[in-house]
Amino acid sequence: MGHEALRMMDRKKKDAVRVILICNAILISLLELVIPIPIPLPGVKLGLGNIITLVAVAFLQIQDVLIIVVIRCIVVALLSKGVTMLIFSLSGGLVSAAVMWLVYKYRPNLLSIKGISVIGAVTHNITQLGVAALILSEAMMVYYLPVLLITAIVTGLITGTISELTIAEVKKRHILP
Amino acid sequence: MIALVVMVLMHDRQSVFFIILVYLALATLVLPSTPRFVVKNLLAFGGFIVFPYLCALTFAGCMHLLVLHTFGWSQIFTPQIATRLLKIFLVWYSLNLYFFTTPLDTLLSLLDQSLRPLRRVGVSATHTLIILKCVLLEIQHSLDAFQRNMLAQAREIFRATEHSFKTKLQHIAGSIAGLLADSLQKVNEIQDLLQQTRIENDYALKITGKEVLSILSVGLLFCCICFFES
Repeated sequence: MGHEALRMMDRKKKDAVRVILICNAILISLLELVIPIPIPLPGVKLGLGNIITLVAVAFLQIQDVLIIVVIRCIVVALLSKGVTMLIFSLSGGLVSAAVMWLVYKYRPNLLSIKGISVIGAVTHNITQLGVAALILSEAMMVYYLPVLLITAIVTGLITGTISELTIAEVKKRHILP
Repeated sequence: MIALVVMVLMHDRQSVFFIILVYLALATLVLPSTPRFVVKNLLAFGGFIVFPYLCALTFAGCMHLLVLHTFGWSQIFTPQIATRLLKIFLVWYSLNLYFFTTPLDTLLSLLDQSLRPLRRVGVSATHTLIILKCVLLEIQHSLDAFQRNMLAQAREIFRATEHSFKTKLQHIAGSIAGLLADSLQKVNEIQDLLQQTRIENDYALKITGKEVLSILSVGLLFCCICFFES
């Protein structure tokens, strides 16, 4: 099933698929406890939950992708009881998901899934830094950008590699519509 | 909570922040929070705000050194910035303490009622909150199995020394695809769960003993601040 088939899918089934993808995104992010981060810095995460965002980008429509990101961020904030983190995760998640979807949809031959993942990670970090700069009312935060860009490239490549393989598997097994 | 946040935002004196900090410490002790919650908050604030800020500050200092040949911390790290960091921490902690000590159903019901006006523009918050509640239920349901199977499997994969990092990632990707395939078999089950799930519609501003006590404590805090200010 492609985008067209998903559009035909009735609302209840679509909601059920959303629930399943969000649950998987949250569960997959637990794998971060196992996979070593090449650049261990405070606040730097692999962002394995983005694998599901990339799977959603590859198979679903923009509104589905954004709903998945919004609900995932809220659930993680509620479960981790760190609601103030929501402002960072939501802003970064939404902007990066939208950028990845646009690149995948309108420039499909320009970048591989790995490249799109790196673009997403870079956008995510830039957005979060922008939000931090706004909260602190301090433009000096820009000086931290090079560190974030390097970590985004590394983490984006790792999640991109897993996502590329996962999407290939999903396509091969006809798992998603 | 709102009164506390407003108090933090309205003042700039460090003595006032100290009083609020003491109040929050007492509230942490009285409310059913855990030491883990406090440590997690401190670490999160340190990791997401303080560490990047200090790094940015160091890089800015280095640039200062390169351009002006002086490394003046005092010109970069001003008392205003320290006050702002403290202010952000107090707001951050107050909000987290509120959400940590409020039951999830009450929060969902409160969100449902607060977002009800969105229906006028065709957005159903209730529908989204039902999906959210289903996700929470389903996660609790599948977490144990995930930890027993996939997490243990991933641990084994990354413990093995004979495979390259890329091979390990390939194994993980295969497992994730398997997880997706298995979970998508449950579409009908999740549809039933979605149909059965309801958002409690009974949120009301109740004035119980606890609420009276918390209002009185905030009043007392306000009096303390006024006293110190004068």
